[in-house]
Amino acid sequence: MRKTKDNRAVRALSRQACALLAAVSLNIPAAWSLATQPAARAGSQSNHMQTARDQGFQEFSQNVDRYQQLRKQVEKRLPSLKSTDNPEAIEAHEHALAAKIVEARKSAKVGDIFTEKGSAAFRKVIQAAFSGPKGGELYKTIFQGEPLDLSLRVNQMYPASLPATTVPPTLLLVLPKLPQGIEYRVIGRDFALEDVKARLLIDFIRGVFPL
Amino acid sequence: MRRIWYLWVLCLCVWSAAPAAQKTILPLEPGSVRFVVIGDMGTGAAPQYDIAARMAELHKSFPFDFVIMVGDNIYGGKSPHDFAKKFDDPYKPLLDDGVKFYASLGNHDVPAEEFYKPFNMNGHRYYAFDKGNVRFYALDSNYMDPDQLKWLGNDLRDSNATWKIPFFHHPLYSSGATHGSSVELRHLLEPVFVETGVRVVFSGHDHIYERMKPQQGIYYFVEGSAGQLRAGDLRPAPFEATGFDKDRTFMAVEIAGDDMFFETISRSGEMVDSGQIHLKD
Repeated sequence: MRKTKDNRAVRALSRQACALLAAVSLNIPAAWSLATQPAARAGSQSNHMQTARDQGFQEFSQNVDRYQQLRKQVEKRLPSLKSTDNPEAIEAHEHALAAKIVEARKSAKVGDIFTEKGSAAFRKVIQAAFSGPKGGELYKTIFQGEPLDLSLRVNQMYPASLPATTVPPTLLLVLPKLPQGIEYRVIGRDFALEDVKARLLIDFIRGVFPL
Repeated sequence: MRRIWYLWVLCLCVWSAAPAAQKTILPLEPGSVRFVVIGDMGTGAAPQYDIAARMAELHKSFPFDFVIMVGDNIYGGKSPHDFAKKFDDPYKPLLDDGVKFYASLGNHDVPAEEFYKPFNMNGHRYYAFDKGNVRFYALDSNYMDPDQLKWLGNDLRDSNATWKIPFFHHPLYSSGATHGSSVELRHLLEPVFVETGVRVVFSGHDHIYERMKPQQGIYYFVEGSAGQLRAGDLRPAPFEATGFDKDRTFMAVEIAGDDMFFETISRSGEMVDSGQIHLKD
């Protein structure tokens, strides 16, 4: 009697186990599918973002190359600057170079080098760096460099009397490489591009730094 | 009688105001590398001239060959008049004696200073030069881009110099309340320094004098008060060995073989720190 009861209980248990297994085995692909769909979507979104970033940076680098060509043309028309005891000659060369570049880029405006796509790429990379695990160190670097607010305009000479804010070196590792003589600048909350030979601001993006 | 009394009081005052005679530890060994370190000096104000006069005075007893500048060489305007007032005039006696100055750029400097011949930068914002058994590296810590990092790492690895001494503006360690340690820069530079056997590093930026306890075997100095001063800016820090923030200072250094001797001298002529660093300690 007891044996029969036991058998019945075992059979009931195995039926439940089979049903559970079947349910689980049926649900795994469904669950997998549910889990992987957002991941796949996120993956494709991330690929899309990376492509957009790469395109933005590519566009930026092409614009910088174009600027570099223009600068070379302008420089050819000036005597080359060599080390000198005469600070007047250094100052005169800097101003002459700046004036000739401004003349050659009379119609230059914000966004000529940092285009919309380029600006978006810079904003994303900079914001990611500042919100990342080393973000605190990046903030500290900027604050140690005595940041200042300056109302920027394209073709403006960066005032020699003002300090230059340090550009966080780990940020420089992830940004597009620039040709010699052109450098990134942090000016208040803005991110600028400076022709350091002419001390000239050649383009900028407003409000990049969440200071 | 009263006149004698006044004379006696006057002598006593002069004696008490004069800095205590401190015995120099600089050995003046033949063939040694002798130099001075200054930073944050280019104000053109009286304290810069006072320190420059102290340096010229020291040059008579400790004939150093060159000066390294850890940045902020010319504050404010950069006109020819500024170069004269903030560099040529204060250091004229030394320049006239043939002492060379090697500059690195601070955040108050402009890249055009690279072309100013007396700064010996030869148109480069970062560069290296040799003096005896020492190779010096003037770095641009305003803009530590991958090219500079790569150049520095390669040159340090290739160099057979006994001593390799980098100098630059932003300190990797500093107890200065105003700026403090440049931690981000430290994470990039210190592993290279450790790997390539750097033992001594000079920086400025904080307007104080400070010597750190060895960090990963490296002696870091902040010498940012050869013109500017932030009195009372030092804060307690576990890495500090000693510091001085009461007056302007400069450092005199001599490297003889495997030993480096240094003295830090204040505007009043007081020796505020001194010591000896052995290359392999």
